[in-house]
Amino acid sequence: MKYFYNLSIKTKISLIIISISLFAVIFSFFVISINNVQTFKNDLVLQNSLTAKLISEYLIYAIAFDDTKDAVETLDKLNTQPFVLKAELYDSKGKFFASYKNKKASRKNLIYKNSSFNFSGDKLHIYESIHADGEFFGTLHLLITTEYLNQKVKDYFFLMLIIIFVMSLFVVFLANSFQNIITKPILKLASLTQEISKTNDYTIRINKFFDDEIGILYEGFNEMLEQIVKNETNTRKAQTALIKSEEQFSIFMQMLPAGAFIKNADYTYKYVNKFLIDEFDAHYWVDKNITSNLPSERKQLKNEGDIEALENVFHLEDSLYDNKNELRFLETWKFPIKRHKTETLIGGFTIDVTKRKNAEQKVKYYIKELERNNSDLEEFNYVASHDLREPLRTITSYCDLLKEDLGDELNKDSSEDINFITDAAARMNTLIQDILQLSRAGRVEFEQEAVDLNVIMSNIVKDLKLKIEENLAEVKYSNLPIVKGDAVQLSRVFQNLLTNSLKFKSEKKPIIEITTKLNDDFYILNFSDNGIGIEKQYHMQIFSAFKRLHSREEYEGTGIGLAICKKIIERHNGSISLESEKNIGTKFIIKLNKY
Amino acid sequence: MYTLEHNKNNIAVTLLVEDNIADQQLTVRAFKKGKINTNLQIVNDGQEAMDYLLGVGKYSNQEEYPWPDLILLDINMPKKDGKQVLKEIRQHPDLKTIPVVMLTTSDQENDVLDSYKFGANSYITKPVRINDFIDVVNKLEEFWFTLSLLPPKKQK
Repeated sequence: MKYFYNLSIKTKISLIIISISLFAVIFSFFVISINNVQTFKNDLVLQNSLTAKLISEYLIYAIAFDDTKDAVETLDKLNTQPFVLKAELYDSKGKFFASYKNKKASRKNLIYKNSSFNFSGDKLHIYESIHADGEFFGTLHLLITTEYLNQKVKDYFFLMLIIIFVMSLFVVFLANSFQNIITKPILKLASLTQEISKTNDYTIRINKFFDDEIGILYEGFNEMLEQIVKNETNTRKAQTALIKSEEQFSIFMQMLPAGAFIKNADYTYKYVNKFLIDEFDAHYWVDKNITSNLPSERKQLKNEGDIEALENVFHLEDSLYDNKNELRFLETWKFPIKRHKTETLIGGFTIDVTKRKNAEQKVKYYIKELERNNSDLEEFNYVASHDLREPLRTITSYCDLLKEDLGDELNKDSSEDINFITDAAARMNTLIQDILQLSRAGRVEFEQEAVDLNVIMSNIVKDLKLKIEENLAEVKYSNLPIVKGDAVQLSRVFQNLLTNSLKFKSEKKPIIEITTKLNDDFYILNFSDNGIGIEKQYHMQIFSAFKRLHSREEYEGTGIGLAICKKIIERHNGSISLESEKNIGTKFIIKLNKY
Repeated sequence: MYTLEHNKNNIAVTLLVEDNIADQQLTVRAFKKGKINTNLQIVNDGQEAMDYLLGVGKYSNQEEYPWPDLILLDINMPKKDGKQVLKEIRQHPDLKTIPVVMLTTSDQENDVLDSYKFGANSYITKPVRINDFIDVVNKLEEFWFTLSLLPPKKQK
């Protein structure tokens, strides 16, 4: 049975068609044959019964008149019937009366029977009762050969076999032709499928023959191919896009001037980028088979924060020896990459902050240096104020003592000499004090309070009252602003400026005036006098320390006053500049911040 | 060491703490010229000053090194500086009542502030000119020995 199922459809369909057809033919033949044979028999019986009846009519008289001769003559007429082998006539008492015998028939007597006919072997017995007017005269027995019948049946069967044979051939031929109608498209489909699966060419289409189920199958097949092509195209597109994005990612990772890595959930490295490989030989982080020649103490990034990084971003500072064996400072961010519900990877970036770290350390170093320098300066200030000035004081004091002790013994020249010594020492003393002031102006902490310049000026004018009166000077100011700063330091500025104006007065009556202008969040103060003025070429210089434009004989002073002013104003985030013309006057322009 | 030629038993005792001999002499001269009636005791640095006050070593001799009525204290000195001496005097139960006047060349703000913070009675910058110095010394004498009532002397 399995053998049958594995046969090709073509064979199967052929076999089915042939066997069904043959079965139908043979079955009909069989049914028809049975029927026909019966009919033949019936015909034979009917025909001979009729003969017997007709003969019987003639025989009545022979029996009635006991005329055997007539009976034989009548019986002899049966010789026209080739199938009648024998005929026997019995009278009403069952006594043999006459007989007929075909030459070919056997000599055996006919067995008397009451039934009207029966087949026995290859013979048909027909018994005809002879009646006339209700009177039984006797019985006619015909013995008929069925040879002919048998021959007819034989012929019939032979014909039938020929028909069956021809029909079979025809059926085979038809089956073969018709199965093609069904199997050809199926086989075509099969071979096409094979071809497609072999060549992977999904553009092939199948032409349908008919609109039957196979036609539908073809349409479905074509549609399927269409779908496959579409899917294929989509897949290819997606793949191309994926490859492209993969390439981009790879380029990004290669060019990234920072480390990037991916770690598995078990904290082993899955991926490291070019930077890490180039700088830290990181390929062996991923592949444990590669060994490194880096110092053993620190070969990989810290594992710190890996656990946290499975959930949140984690930031850590790290340091690591690079492949040149130099310690690099790194800042690392780790973060979760959730792939599936169950699988999470750790992503990471690390940037090299060595330069920044070094810069920070440098800055720290410089700050320390600066602090040390400042404290050195402090020390120096103390030394300057005490140790440098003490000998000067001693010189002066002992000059005084010398003068007093010698008294009249001292001649005029020597007395003058001693005065020179004392003056020089005094000047040196002032100089040191001014330097101290300048250094303090640049160093000490300044207050950031509201300073009313009106109050400052009125105090200065009070302090310098004597000098102002001596010089017959006039100081004019009104509605000065409140600025942000240190009252003591700002006093020093305005006192220095006022002193300067008085010192460098012209022949005219000194008039000193302060005016104010408010800008957005700062004030411009103009401090002007009508003194001797300053030549343009010296404007830049006068703010430098120890810059004197006049000889000591002309004007006293160390030349440090304006330098102190400038420093103080600058420490207030302000500025000071001047406009001046010789013999007309000087104007200092001071910018100070609003409180 | 210089001692003024006065009756040692009745006159006030001034202890000058000064490391510079020139300054010591200057002070002595100023006292002399100002005709100040005081027993001027001089020590050369802060350590010596503490030894004197606590009667250590030779300073245990009360006759020669009597209890001071006034201390003139320089700041800038080797070994133990003036501020340290001042602190120790003010922390010592017996010494803390002795008036201390800082007599120094420094006019640094923090020196002034520290001195008063540690309990100085006065802060004087040494004048440059000798006449001013004599003036200062006179005023000191007048203020401390004439005007002021001083705490009773103690034994070392």
